Amino acid sequence: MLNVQHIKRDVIVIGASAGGVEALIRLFQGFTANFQGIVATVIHRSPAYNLHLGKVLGRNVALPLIEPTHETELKPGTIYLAPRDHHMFFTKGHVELNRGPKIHFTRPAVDPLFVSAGELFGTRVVGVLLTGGGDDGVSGFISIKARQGLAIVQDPREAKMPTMPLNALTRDHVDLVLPLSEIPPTLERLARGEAVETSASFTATPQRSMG
Amino acid sequence: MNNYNDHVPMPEPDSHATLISCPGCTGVLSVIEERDGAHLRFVCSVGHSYSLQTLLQAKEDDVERAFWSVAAFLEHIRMITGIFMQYVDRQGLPIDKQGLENRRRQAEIHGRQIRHMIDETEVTDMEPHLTDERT
Repeated sequence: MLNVQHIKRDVIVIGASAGGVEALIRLFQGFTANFQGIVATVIHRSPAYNLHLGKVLGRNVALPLIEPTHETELKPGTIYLAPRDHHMFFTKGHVELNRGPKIHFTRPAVDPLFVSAGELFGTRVVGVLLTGGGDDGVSGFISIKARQGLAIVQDPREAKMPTMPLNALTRDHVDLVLPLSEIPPTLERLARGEAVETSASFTATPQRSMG
Repeated sequence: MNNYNDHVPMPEPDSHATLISCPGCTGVLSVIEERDGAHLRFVCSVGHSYSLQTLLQAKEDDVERAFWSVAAFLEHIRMITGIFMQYVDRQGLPIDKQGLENRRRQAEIHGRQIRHMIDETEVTDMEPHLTDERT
């Protein structure tokens, strides 16, 4: 079992890249209206094209989804989507944005959000890495885990692009590997402080031969 | 033996040279008006090709890279002047330390200004705006 200490893990940070739009649509639609967690999401996206991504990802979702501006106040039960061309990270009570150096050639990047979440919220944080290429998010996972947060990856066998979750499995101690459909209910249980089964569907054994 | 001209791509008949360099190779870009000007295509002599949107984005990337490069140089000047001042102290050299200190502070201020310019930059949203809310 995971979270046998019954800690309320109500700060959810999510990273996705290639294939992420479809994955995020399914994931966000899985949250119930009662969910009181804070959900902050980075998907790698073009700096030049807005792509109405907020509207696309927020359609038929029970929780409000916003693309925050600088120093937007954090509210429970809200999904925050990193806007194009800005890194998004947490400071006390707020979401902050900046045009800092690109990380892994991308802005927004997953790592700054994950690292700031770990530093600010410690055990309350659950990091989630979905489909994508590259290894953005791995440093963030390591930072979250170092502060006793939890790490979940989408099952690489179902991910459109398995590299990002696989890199996380290879380089850090991931707590759960789940199919997309099981991630929202698991996050809701963790946010309520419930323990969850760890024997779900995948052995998250680091494979040192990779990357 | 091949004709030399076989290896030199010639501009397309309807293209016009611009004063803008190619982001991919710094060659000259020519612009071609397609469909009576409905679409502009920029091409260089080796075949890098851009639309207005991708050319603007490539130039935005160039500007940001140049800004970071200046920021890095200024940071290096700040560090080196700091080392220089310690060196002057250690060696007891007859060098104007105040001048070094002034330059160190100036580089620090300029570095902050460059970072501020990067942070304040608003890259244009190049997506066509939808008027139909159903989409």
